[in-house]
Amino acid sequence: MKLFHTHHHYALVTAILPRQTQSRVLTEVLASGAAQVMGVSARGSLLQQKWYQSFLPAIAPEQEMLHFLVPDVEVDALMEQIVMVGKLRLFGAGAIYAVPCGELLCSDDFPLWLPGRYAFHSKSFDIKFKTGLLSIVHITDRDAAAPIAQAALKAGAQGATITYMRGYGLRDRLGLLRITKSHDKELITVVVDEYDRDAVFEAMATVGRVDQPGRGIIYQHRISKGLTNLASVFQPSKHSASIQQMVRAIDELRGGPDWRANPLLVHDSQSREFSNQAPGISHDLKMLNILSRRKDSELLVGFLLDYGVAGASVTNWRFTDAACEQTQGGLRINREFGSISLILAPAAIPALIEALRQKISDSHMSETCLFTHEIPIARTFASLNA
Amino acid sequence: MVSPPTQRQNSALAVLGWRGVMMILWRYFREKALEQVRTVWFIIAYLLFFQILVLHLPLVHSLTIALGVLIVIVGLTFFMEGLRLGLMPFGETIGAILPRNSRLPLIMGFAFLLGVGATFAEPAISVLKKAGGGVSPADAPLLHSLLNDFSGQLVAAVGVGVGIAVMLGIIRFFFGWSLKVFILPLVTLLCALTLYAHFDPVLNPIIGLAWDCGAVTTGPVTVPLVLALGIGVCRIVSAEDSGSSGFGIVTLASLFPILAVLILSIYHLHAGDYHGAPNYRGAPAAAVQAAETEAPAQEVEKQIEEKPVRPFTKEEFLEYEKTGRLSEHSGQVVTLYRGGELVLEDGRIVHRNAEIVLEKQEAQGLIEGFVRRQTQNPWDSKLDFMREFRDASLIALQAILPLCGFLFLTLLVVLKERLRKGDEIAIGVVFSVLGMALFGLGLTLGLTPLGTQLGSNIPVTFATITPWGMSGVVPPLFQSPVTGKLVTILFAFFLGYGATLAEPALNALGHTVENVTVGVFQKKLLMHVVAVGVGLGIAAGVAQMTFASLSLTMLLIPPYLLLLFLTVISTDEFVNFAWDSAGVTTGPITVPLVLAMGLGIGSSLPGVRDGFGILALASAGPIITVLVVGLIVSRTRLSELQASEG
Repeated sequence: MKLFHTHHHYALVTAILPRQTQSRVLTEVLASGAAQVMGVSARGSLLQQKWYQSFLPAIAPEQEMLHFLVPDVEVDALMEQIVMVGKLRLFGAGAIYAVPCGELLCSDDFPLWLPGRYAFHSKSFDIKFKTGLLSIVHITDRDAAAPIAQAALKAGAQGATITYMRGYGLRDRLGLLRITKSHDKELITVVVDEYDRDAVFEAMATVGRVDQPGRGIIYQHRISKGLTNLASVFQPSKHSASIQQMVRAIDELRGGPDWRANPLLVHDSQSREFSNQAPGISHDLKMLNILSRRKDSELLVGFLLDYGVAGASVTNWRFTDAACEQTQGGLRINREFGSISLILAPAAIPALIEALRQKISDSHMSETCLFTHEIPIARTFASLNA
Repeated sequence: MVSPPTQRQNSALAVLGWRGVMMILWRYFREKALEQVRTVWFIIAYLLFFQILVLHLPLVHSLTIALGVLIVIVGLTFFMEGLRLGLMPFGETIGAILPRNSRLPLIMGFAFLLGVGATFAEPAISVLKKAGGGVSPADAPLLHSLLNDFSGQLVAAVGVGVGIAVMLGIIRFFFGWSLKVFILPLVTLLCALTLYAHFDPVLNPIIGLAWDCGAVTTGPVTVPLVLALGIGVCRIVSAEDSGSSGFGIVTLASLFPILAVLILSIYHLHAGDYHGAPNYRGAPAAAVQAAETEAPAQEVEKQIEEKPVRPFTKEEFLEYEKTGRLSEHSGQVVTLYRGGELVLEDGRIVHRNAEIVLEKQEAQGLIEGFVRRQTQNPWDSKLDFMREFRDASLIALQAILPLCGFLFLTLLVVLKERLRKGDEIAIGVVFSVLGMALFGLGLTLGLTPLGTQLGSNIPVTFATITPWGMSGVVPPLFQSPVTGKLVTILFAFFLGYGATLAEPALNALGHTVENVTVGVFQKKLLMHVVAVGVGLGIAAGVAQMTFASLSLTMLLIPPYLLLLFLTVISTDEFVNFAWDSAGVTTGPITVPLVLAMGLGIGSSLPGVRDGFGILALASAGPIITVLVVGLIVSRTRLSELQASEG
């Protein structure tokens, strides 16, 4: 039986980087002693500014989303290193943010990032991370993400990142009929200031029509600190680039984005009320994430569905750790980890974790890790609070 | 929301009931079928439009063709679903397990065997074997010998070529080599060998065969499987900052066979054991036999019936006698000259001693006449439906089952892994076999006859021809042959464009590219760029055929030199996409259409051989367009980056 240990004070750090810089970041971070990097390919979204662009096929920027499960004490050092190596302070260079985890349980053999081994020390590198950020995540069908991302950008989000993932739930209760519906989903991640939160959330939910069944789910994460510098327009003409840079400069001068608070937007009672009372809105939920080897993650999803959860989503993360094997050509042989995530009422979590622990030790799975996030608000076609 | 454990499978189905299940299945099928309709409608509508409205010729066997097209769509639906559910996940699973569980020599052996197996399974390779009968030993002794005496060696050479290609393609991922490292020397070598062969009278006829072998090996089964395998490997092996990892095997698999065939023929040239050479040992009788079996000799049917004649009445005759003219009530009247002799007299053509006959024709409404023309002889009476279906099924079984068996055994015995989601993959394999059988049947019934008809009718724009399956001659449509040829070239462009969009292997490639790049390069974009490239290539081929008539070598070498230059200056990811898409374009829809058109045009022009050069250009075209688009995209990206940093 695998022993499970409970850890506290961990955060999930996510870096969204253009493909050109990601491999340098990955190598440097691993060299500094990072225990693991979990990457997934992504694409950015850009607003089409000129009329003729709507006739041209859009080639979105290629990005990579890197995830790190990091003890709180080393979050700053890691983020600083990534900002430095990835030159994240330049316009359009990427984003980084940390989402605090609730409890974290993992089996003995999971290559967890333990405090004290990370050897990067801030070289008087003075970076102010923003607080008061939120990430909004929308899961939708394959090929449905583009309009939602556009809506988010128009509503004021800075950069929308799209990744591919698989959704389980309804379809897997149909036996062989499941072939009629595809697993493939798209996941849109947007990082916004608190002031833009309602407008962006509302815009995405409206375009994504989440109040209808089968249209996916939208939810928010609270971010403890972060930095976003994603491009959001095609070929930034000098105007838009400089305006965004000016806004950032004033942010720094004033010590925060408060000055941007538009009273009209914040006190727009109508949208507030609507979003709080609409059917399918649920508050104060928790997200349970389960990291396991890819082949085990399929078994675990099956178990979760048998257990009775409404649905779960799985992203495959390319798992690179310092000790990974190499090919004869010197390329890393990565492993694949499945990251299962599901949103639940907090009350249901302890029992489910217990059942999962039982299942994991019964089927002798190794290298698993469970952790939770807070989800302040989520919206789908039916309430999740019930 | 968490309820106690339940039986998740049965309860949902029980609630849905029989009707619910059928409803779900129907919606699913309809959606997938519509997806295929969107890929094939253009080529079919375009061919019909051209035949009926531009060329003003009736469609022979219209009902058979309609049925065939319907079957093509159903077949494609099943086949593409089969790829999605069965073959591609299967290949990807194995690719992802391979790098962890086995050593390099084992992987190389596996890849080699897979390449060889895929070649033998490819339906087109058996066509190659059969094609030998048509080549006369007097004109092209070495080609004749290769296709007849050494046909086993030829297929083996192609197989080994593909085997080496898949092997190198996979090893490339482990070492992170750029595809350019392979393409540049390989294409240079191919160009040099082609040039060498060009100046040797015995080797010259081989060139067409060699370059076609490259196109033949990358068919609708091999491509998705090999792509999936590559993607699987690259999911595990970290290929740093490239979004295109997993591609490139298809490219190598279409270049190596050319090399293999050229080397094989040079060997036989020097050994001197081909037909008519001093060391020849084959039986000359074999050639005669083959020629006999391969003589389809399309009988020209009498298709256009005599137009029904409505007799003139007594009154009309009297009126004509009196006035020398007919009243408008008589409708359309034709004047025929019967018998007599034609003489050229003082620069005038004179019908001497001929009867002049006036015939009244059936007055018809426009629609009525159209329908009557189109419904003549709607069924192809010579077609044996059951036999065609059996043949198509056999080809499909032969193409898919052995490969799947090989993969399954590898997974079970060599990699010692269990197959997950076996039921889904099994359904997928059944779907792909069924789909491929129907697809093949539909092609024989519908698309190929349609293309053949139109291909042989298209020269009517500039020459006098006998329309396919009809008797009599039709004069050129356009007065000026130059206009007619230009129309033909335009036709060729859209034929290539439409046929390419319908190609299943390209669809699979586009899907894979979209998946791997997380939607950065959309399938739609890639497919249209490739289709335009194929269209341009085919148009260029037809243009040179009608206006210039260059030799195959002159046709092949300049575009490939241009390609080499473009490849050198392009980024790796576009080199991968471009060369891979070139390998997949020449598939079961494009090839028959293009060959039919080439033969049609060739037969109505003096001194032109066939359409083989067009196919070679059709492969080069998309590489050029994709690379050019890639260069444009990279440039804008670069300027974006500079704008943001500056």
